[in-house]
Amino acid sequence: MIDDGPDPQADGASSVFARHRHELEIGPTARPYRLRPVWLACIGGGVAGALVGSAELARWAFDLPLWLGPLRAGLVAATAAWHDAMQAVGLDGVHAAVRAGFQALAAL
Amino acid sequence: MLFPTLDFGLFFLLVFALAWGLKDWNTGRKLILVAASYAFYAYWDWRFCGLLLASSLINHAAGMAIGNSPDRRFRKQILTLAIAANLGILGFFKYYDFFILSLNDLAFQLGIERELPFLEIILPVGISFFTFQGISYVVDVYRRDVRPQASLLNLLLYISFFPQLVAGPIVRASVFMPQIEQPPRADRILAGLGLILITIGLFKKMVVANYLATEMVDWIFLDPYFYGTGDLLLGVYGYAIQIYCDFSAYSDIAIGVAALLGFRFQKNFDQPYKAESLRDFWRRWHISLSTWLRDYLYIPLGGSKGGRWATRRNLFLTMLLGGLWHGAAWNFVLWGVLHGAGLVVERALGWTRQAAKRPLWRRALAGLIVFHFVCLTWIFFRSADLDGAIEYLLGFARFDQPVEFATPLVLSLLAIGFAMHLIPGDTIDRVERALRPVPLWLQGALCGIAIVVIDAMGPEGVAPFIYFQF
Repeated sequence: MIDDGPDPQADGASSVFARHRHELEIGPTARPYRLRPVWLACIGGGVAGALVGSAELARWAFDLPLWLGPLRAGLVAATAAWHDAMQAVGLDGVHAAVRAGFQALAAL
Repeated sequence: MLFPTLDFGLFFLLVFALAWGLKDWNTGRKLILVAASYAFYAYWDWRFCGLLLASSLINHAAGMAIGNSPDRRFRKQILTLAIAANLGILGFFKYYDFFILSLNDLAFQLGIERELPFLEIILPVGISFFTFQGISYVVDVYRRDVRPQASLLNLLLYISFFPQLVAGPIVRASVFMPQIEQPPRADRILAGLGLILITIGLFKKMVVANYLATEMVDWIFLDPYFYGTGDLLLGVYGYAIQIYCDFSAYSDIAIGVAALLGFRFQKNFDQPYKAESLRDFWRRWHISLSTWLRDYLYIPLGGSKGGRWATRRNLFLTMLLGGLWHGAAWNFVLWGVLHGAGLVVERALGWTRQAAKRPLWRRALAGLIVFHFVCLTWIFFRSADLDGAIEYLLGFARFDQPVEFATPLVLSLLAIGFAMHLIPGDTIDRVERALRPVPLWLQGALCGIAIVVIDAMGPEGVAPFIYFQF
């Protein structure tokens, strides 16, 4: 936290920060992307998450506050139907299998 | 709204779409980000949005007054008023009840029966962080390190930006303002890095930190009287890993989320338990706070310019106030006192001089001593109160108690957490480079699957991040 070297003048103290700023950069060589692939990455992440996390999605909709009324009812129905579809193709098992495995480890 | 929840995931996707949708209208983008940040804050308690707004208005007005006046005396008066207002707000919400309790205790001991009233004030989440950002802004304007912001919108966004609003990192105006004054560069988004940081952060928080807390640390610290030497040692090592994984996870996710929105923040942790001195530890732990304390407290106190004893006093005071910043309780004060005293002793003995030239065994030994000193101070930090910390320390003498918590899960998590902490900082860069051939949409999909798997691996429910309480 504290520099051993000579202190800057009191009024220019944050120049210490400015001098060392580059040392704190994260990923200075990281590749920058254009917006379009970043959009696709967010959509990809959302879709993939919904595919393997359908049970969590259904639970989330069920836990929504009741005052949302018809919006809640619609979301509950839609996410339940989605979960049923994922169950039919076996994708819902990922979450449950990982949880069961980890809880078995925890019980050791 | 907590990061590792579906609520936040959906909130983020909406903000991402709206903010980038308005990339060609910078004012609109900033309006969306401010509205999103206030919505994010209101999710905890909407009543404190007024406090956030008041803090921004005070600092905006003070910044303008300081920046536009050539009169040095007037500028100093306004700066003093602004700092007093910031600290007054923080002091009222965070320390009022603590000082009333301490005064009542003192009065009772002096035989005075009249008690001052408690207000039972709710602590607004993140108040310490946005107050420190506000102070750094007005001080930097005073020092002419940053220009005063004529745009209130810019200052509202700086104080409230949601990724770092409630638990840091504390971002300097000199880092943040240039990123919002110009329209965002839609071809310079560090998306690969952001996805990696978010995934790693979620794993550290939801698996390592949450399991260590629920399976061991919370039980041991709840009542240390029931446990012996082995469990108490495991408890303190567990907390050292838990707090690192919890807090650095929040920073990782905040930096990753900000990166996806086109912002660049700086790192907040750098393998802190590898430190070979306490000074080194504070260069690696909560870097945004330790550099803040250096620039806005230690150096204004005189830094190392006033001679040996003045330097020691300044070091000690800085750490004492750093401890008090963490919480209005005597155990936090003692935590700060221990770190301050440690830094003073270290400096007095010259332990930090030419540390890199020492033989490896001496460096390893120094690292081991520093790690255990930091662990000792974590006992005060984590305990509910001072009595609990003393009870914990006394328990180290109970050698005859069997060890209950050395389960395969706990030992694995300790090893994984410590190993993750030892991963060099440039490893994330290397992972990012290695993943470049993978199309970004596929990286996003893998991140989505990883988040679901991490959610499944963690214990039921979502525990708040430790630093929310500060």
